[in-house]
Amino acid sequence: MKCGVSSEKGSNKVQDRIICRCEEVLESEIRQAIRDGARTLTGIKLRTRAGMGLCQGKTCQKLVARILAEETGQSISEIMPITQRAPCRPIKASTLVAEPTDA
Amino acid sequence: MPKGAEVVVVGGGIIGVSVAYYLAQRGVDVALLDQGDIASGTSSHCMAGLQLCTKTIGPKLELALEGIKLHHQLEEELGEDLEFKECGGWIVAQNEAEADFVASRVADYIRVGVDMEFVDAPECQARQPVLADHVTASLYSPRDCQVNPLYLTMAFMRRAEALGARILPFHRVTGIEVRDHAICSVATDEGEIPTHGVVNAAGPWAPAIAQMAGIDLPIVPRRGQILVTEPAPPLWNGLILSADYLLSKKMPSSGSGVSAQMLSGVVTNQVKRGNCLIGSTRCFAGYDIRNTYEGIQALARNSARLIPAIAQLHIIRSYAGLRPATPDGLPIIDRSKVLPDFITAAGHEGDAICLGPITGLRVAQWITGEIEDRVLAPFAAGRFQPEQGSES
Repeated sequence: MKCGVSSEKGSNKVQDRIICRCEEVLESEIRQAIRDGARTLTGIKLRTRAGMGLCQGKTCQKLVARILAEETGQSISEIMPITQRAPCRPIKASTLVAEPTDA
Repeated sequence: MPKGAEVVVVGGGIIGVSVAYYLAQRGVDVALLDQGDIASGTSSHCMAGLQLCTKTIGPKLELALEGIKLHHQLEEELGEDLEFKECGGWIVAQNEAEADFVASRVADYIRVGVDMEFVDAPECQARQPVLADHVTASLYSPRDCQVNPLYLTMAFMRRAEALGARILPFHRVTGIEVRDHAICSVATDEGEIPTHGVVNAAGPWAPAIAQMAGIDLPIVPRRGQILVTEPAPPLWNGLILSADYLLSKKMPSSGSGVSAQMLSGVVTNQVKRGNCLIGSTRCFAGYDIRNTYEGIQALARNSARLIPAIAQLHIIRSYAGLRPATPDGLPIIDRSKVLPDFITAAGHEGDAICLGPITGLRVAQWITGEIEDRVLAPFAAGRFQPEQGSES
């Protein structure tokens, strides 16, 4: 995995990695959430905030899915993505306000 | 397949986990079922406010006063950081008519002994400088609080489990077996659970659960859409509502079209992480939890008008949740007349984060005989005519 940082590389400390960069969620926290009962990407998100940040899981979702598959034995293809919601990228509130309203 | 339980709680939202926790604390053998994950429905698709100033004077306000008192002790009792804060609440007027409305609302609360304050325009600017210049007055409710609803629900779940409750997410209830006016078991897609008592805490899905026991519940899902901004430095403190949010609640909201979506008014607060939550539209749309463009735009427009700083923030997400609405806006906390061991604790609409823990405590006390029926009498389903099933 290329996402995030490896802490204390080369030392005897247990290595941990940031999986969700936006919300700074560690791999160990994601594994703990699964041990606490999370069975879906949304369940992990609700317990850890992974995927709740600026990029809304665009970066970390696949990494989280891999950890979930590894921990639970599900196949990657069975894992449902987190719910996609508007906006698809951050948009200034003022832009929305300025839009015409002829719905 | 799970073994039997004294009481089966249906619904893993804030109400169900609270009921399970307070029952387990009393030594009752309890199992909690949810069709999905814990906190996967309304309790993760809501806002964060615990508000007195939105509660109608009467049984709801009284329950909220007790509820907020209980919230104050939950971080210590459950042993987790719940981002609880007594932050205060504002109901902001943007014209003279709304200023009269908040002034009379303040007087009404003071008459029943609840602490509220009328804040005039210059003082609004001094105390809440983030508000727009055109603001005419505000109500200030010093005892309103905020909490992280997800943390709260998960904490109750974990403590309930530690006390011996069996927490069974991803167990969909498929039937309730009743013989001679008594419950025998609850059937799920993962097997049958023998039990003599059921607490229906399924929120917007409560009518379908009640139907399995032959009971009609006048609860309908009402969709609320919410926006989330990027995390920002602290911009303001407290929960800010526009007065037209409350005024629009009094108008009918059936039919279709933009006006029927209840797009006026806005509630905002800034959570601990720095994100601002902006909500919420109100619309009857069945079980559809998609956002609408009109809803998103209205929330952005209404909030930026009230709090100009919001215009410069990025919206990173929208979401929508279902509020279980009753015809009179009061929850249903009720023991069925035909099936006395079937208890309903649902229909709190947008108030369940505030009222959920106290509802759970009272239901557990009711089951164990610690409180009398009259304590919960104002919330009995008998207040509705039989057959009455929808708001119109």
